[in-house]
Amino acid sequence: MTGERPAVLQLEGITKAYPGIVANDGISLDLRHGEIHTVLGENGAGKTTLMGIVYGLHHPDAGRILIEGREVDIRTPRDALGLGIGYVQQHFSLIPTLTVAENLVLALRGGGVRASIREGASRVRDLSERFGFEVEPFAVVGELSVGHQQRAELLKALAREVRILVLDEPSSVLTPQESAELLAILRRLADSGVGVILVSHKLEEVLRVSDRITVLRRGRVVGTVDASQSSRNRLAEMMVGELRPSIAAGAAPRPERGTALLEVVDLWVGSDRGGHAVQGVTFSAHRGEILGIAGVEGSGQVELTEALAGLRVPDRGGILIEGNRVVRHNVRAFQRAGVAHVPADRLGTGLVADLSVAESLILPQLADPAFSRFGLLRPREMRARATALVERFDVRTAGIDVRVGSLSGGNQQKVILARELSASPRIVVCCYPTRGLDFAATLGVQGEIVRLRESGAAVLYATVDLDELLAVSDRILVLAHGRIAGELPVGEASAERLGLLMGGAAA
Amino acid sequence: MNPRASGLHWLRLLTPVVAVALAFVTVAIGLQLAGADPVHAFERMASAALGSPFALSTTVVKTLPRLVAALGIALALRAGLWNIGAEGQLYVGAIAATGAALFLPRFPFPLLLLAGMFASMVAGGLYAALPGVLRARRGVSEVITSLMLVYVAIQLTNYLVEGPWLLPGTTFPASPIVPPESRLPLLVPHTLLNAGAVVAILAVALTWIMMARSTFGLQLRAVGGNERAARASGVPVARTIVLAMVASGAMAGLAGGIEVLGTRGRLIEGFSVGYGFEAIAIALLGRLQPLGITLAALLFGALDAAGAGLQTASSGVPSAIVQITSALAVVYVLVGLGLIQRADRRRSAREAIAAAHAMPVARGATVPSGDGGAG
Repeated sequence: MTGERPAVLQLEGITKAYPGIVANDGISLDLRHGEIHTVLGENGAGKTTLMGIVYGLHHPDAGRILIEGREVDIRTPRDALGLGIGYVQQHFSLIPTLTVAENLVLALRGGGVRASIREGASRVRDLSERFGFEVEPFAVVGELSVGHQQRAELLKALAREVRILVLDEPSSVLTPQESAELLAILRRLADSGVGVILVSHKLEEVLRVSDRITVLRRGRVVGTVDASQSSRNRLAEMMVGELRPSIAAGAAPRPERGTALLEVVDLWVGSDRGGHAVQGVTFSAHRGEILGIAGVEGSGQVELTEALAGLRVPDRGGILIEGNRVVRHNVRAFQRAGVAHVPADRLGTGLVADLSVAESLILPQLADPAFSRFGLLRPREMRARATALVERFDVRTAGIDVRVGSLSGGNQQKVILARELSASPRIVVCCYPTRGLDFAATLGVQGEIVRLRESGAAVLYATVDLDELLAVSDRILVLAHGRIAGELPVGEASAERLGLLMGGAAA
Repeated sequence: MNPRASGLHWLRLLTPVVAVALAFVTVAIGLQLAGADPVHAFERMASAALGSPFALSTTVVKTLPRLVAALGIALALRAGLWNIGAEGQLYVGAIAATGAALFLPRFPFPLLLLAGMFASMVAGGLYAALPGVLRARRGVSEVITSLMLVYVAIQLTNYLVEGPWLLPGTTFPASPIVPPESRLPLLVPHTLLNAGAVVAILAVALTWIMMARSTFGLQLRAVGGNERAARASGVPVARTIVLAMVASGAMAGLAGGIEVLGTRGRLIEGFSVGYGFEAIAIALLGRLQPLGITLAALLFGALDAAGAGLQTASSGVPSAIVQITSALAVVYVLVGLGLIQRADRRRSAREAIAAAHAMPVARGATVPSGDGGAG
């Protein structure tokens, strides 16, 4: 729709490689004044790397960046700021104990501009009015809701005059209502002339808000299309290369609910930041069901699932596995009781980056005489097993001796899934299991999980992605602020209803 | 495919050699500037460390305690633990070996020796277990606790050799000579080379097996790499930490045992001039690999022997230059390895580009094969 408008940013042949992977391979795209241009791709497609290059976090191995037709060399974020590029990263970089205005002033200082708190506050008010942020300048950031914290983050990026605004997966932490509001703000920003680059892998959101969409696959541009002339299926096809049916849609028969395999009674789990992340939660998960756990980030999903995997010792309450109360809260006890765990934080909790792929896959089974004898490893058996798992779970790696930390995020996740799901667990506890996985791999993971359900396992499936939850679950539990805000059979759940419950509304 | 099949791997192996050469060059320049004759000094050093069978044996026996203690340091470091207290464990091991040799019944030859060696390992291991348990259970930094225990061990040694174990009628702070049944025998007459060298070689082999081929070694590396992920994978983290410290301390203790039962024949006040501390530098210089550590320890042993040569030869060159040389070597190695790592990243990035261009994009965009029953 904006064919005549000049480009504010042009990327030409951007190439960036890391050991074992070419993250960006000759990427070219242009961003026009006043457009929302979405960079769409499966995770691992190279989106975040590309944006890091635009913001001076990485330096490209080859290629040119032009801003308003002039070639620029962006070596640091400070260079980027100087050129009028604002960047809102996936994770907030606000100081929670300071006010919105103070955070904004700090951001200005970081860019070499001195400003008083009063000037900061008036800038917040000014932007707030122009674009509908509705953020109070003297609110303490830590006391804001996640949605408003994100707006504060956005305000921070807009502290200086920006021509180009980059947002990396901005809606991943938001409820559906919050992300709709955010997208409205972005539209107003674009209308004021700012070029907005939105990084996303959510098709519906992308189609709704973008002017143009550039699809990346494996570090290369598949194509750039006008949003108005595209469709969900077409984009999905571009992302994946070929379209596959969703396992979703309740297609799989849901077996009768069986006996309770996992019972949780009045469970209280501490948070790393003090206080309780899980507050008196009671529920049960049954043989042959997938119990979805909905919630926004920070609602207690991580702590709950970690407690159910033995990684966190609950402060109060009980966990019963097949009717037996768990007394030893350590991972091995849970593993022996048949619990598998796919943790939320891939490199923080899931994997030891410096181990090889083979070593990572075998780590929980070291005591198994199939892989060790008299305390010594059996390399041949270990490697055979690792090779089989790599094939079965389609881990793309240069070999099983490669450092697991050098794989792409999606492939790291596949290693974790291979390790955890291959042991035929009775109970599977997953938190964000498909985060960072591409379209095809997501379906693969969900397929594995459905198969486990059919073989009689109880699956706990915590995610922030409601579409995914609705597609996979038999029953959905909504967590809000560490408590159960509601429980719905999937037939009665809708994204909207779940969204309201996630935000803390009464059931 | 094989990550080692690159020229950089060889460069990495070559780094310590280049670093050592550079260290000598640096020292030579320094000597020249100070008005001394570096060639003459180096000749003296070489002859004291390598010039005769006796000189060579001096180098070897000076290598042994450093080598074995450094193996221990490397084991702990693999688990992410800084066992700064190897020096203390070494002293405790020496005390235990001396005690066993002096006070156990006089078993025939290899038995009393083995008992002494075993005692040194147990004592060193238990002494290191203390910081290990505190770290595993209470999160207390093993750096501080193990370091503080060094002084306890040194003072305990001093107390013993100045008091209860002092030979009546003498003043030299040392225990009596241990009985011959407990000694590591000389391997070559008229040299210092004793069977401690064999023990050290066994220790190198054992360490390699532990690190690279044992389940314990894998758990060790998992904990060292990411404690939280190791725990999430079901690795018994606390036990691994304690055992890593025990293994580390046992090696350091054995180093003390070799010193008493082999080289010196008795416990002497201040016999270790910081072997346990030098071992840290040696472990790093050897890149935590048992073979690398062996070479690094030989270098330090040779320099120590060379320094002794300078002292006796009145060459006008202070023997401190050997310490400067070894310190410079460690610094150069660390710098060199850092540079290689950077080059490596760039290179593998280039290779990845080439590989990606050789392969069509669409390849492999498939769902994991659906043989669900296989799990």
